[in-house]
Amino acid sequence: MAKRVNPELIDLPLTAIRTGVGTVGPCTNMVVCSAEPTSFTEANTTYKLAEVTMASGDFTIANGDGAGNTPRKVTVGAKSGVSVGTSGTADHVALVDMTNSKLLEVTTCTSQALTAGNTVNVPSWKIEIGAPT
Amino acid sequence: MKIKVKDSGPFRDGRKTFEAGGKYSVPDRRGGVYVSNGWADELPDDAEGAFEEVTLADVSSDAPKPAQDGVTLDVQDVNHEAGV
Repeated sequence: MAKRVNPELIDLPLTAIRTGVGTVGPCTNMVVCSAEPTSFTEANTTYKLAEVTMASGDFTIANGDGAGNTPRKVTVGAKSGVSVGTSGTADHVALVDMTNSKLLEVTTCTSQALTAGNTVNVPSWKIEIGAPT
Repeated sequence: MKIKVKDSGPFRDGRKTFEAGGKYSVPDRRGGVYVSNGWADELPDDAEGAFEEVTLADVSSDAPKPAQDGVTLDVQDVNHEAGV
């Protein structure tokens, strides 16, 4: 026997990132941080090293890579030539909603020194919501 | 072992922000990162003045890869296991 969920249900948080749902989202900026941000202010100010604007076209929602019925994922598009505003050690990347002042998603990156005035590239990455178990 | 540094510009390491012109006493391996990346200048051991003590607990736990213009980050995917 298997458990199942309507993919449209799983898509809601992913859609919030891409185009917004209610007062959550959409993601307007991707931010490179020196530490794990736990709030919008920490991502947007306290730990911010670099940022780039995002649009709905930067996010692609599709079936996920995991097993079961039915994982879904959003792929965050790559961004190149992002200006570094403050020097520091980058180890987190966050998606934020500047309109509603919300921190939407945080991931990690391998620790990398960044120097102000240089540019940095952020490769494509994925957020997946697994199937029910 | 610690070294004394003076910041040449503001920079962030972990949850710590180092202010431009600030003087800090930092773990030597960490200080080496700051100097080699051009974020701070090393001062002599007998340099006078007030130096803020910084420990490894104050900064990022991992040694960063050296700064490089146009570098590409190694970003990890996110997997929400629980589902709906």
